[in-house]
Amino acid sequence: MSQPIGSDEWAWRIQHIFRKLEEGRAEESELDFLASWLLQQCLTIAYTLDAHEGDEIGVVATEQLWQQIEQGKLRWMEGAGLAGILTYIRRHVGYVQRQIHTERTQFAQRNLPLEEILYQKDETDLTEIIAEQMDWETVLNALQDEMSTLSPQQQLVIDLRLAGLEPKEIALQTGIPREQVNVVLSQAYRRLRQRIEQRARQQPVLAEALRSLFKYEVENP
Amino acid sequence: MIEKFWLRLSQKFRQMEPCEQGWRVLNHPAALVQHLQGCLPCRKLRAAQYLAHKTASYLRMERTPTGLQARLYVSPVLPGYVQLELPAILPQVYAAGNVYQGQVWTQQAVSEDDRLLVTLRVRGGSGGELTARYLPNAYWQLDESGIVRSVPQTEDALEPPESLACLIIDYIEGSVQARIGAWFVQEGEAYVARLRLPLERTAHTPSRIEVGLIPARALRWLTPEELVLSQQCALQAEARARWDSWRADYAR
Repeated sequence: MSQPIGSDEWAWRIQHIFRKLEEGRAEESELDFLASWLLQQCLTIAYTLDAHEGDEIGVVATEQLWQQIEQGKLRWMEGAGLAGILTYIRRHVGYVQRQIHTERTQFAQRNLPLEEILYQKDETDLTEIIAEQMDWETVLNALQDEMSTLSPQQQLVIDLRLAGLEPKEIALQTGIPREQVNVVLSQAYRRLRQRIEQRARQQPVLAEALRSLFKYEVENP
Repeated sequence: MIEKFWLRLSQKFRQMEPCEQGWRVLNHPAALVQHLQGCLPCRKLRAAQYLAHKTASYLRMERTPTGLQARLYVSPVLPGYVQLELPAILPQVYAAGNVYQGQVWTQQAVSEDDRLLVTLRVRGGSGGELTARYLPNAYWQLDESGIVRSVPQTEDALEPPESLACLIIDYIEGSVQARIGAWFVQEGEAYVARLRLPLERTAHTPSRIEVGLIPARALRWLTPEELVLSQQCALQAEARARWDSWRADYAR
């Protein structure tokens, strides 16, 4: 899968294989291609849900969806097209993730100390939740604008860090030396911090959001 | 503030859902890049695509009579990828049934990215041994006369490799005869993986050996039989011990 998947040519190929499958005349190489394509889709979706367990979620989803393809439950539908199949795959990967997490949470909660349960945040305080959500929106909007000013390498490293990977994992995944990962992260953090501070000096709403979320006071120069 | 900021931001980022437009353009690289400029949650899609691409370089789904099964593979896009040819010279059995022993056949190769030096030794009748050497501060150079030397690199050191995947592939049928995982153990400045190669099944046919660096997490895709074989093939005591602890965690 060296080419970017999902181009129009690939969409046509996927449709072609699904049709041949229904007619029972799909070739071995086409089935291998479909299996690879399905894995790639499931892994991508799974990694958006969980950067650390993405491979497990993606593989389980691929296995289950393949069963559905063989049983004729997942098939090409006129009108829905490739977008329909991708939506179905996305929902199924989400279902597998919940399934795996539920199993783990049940195991973890059975072993949670009493103190941790007593001091867990009350998730029913709607006023607080809405206010916090608005603050986040303000901060994230500012961050989004500033992210595009970073270099492509900085953006990749930051994206992976935000997705939850540790610097060592980023170094292993990207082949960038660890020292350089640390330097890229610290430079990018510093740059983003300075730019967000600059904005906050002109936007009281952003300054208030930073204060509320991070107890951070933006000082005037 | 900065650590707390990034910690909480990272937590928040992981909770955010990519938007519908992002999903629609996921498989259209140019449109996705353009979309990311104005949509922070969809940056997850690009990070996810990157990780999926990396995983697909060592993981494939194999069709079996009961469905699909995830299997560990190596591919030329893996760091430290090396391919070695193993001619059918291993046990030369004569008509009287004697096996010619004593000759050692050795082959050395440097990976395409110059990161890994692989040495393969095959003794007549007694199997093979593979050694993979990795230097964090240097790369390998194999000149035309077959001399290997390490060349110090000026850039920062790369992250030491965690583990190695080694596949023995039947040259004619293309089928995988053996799939072995191995750990790197530090020996001086180098990180070295030493393993015995079970060449019994491929002794009479030419085969291909493919090697690549994989994250330790990828070893989970070895089957239970392949895990046992991998531990049996480990030649370093530390590597065997690491298999014990890894399998204890893995089984949990």
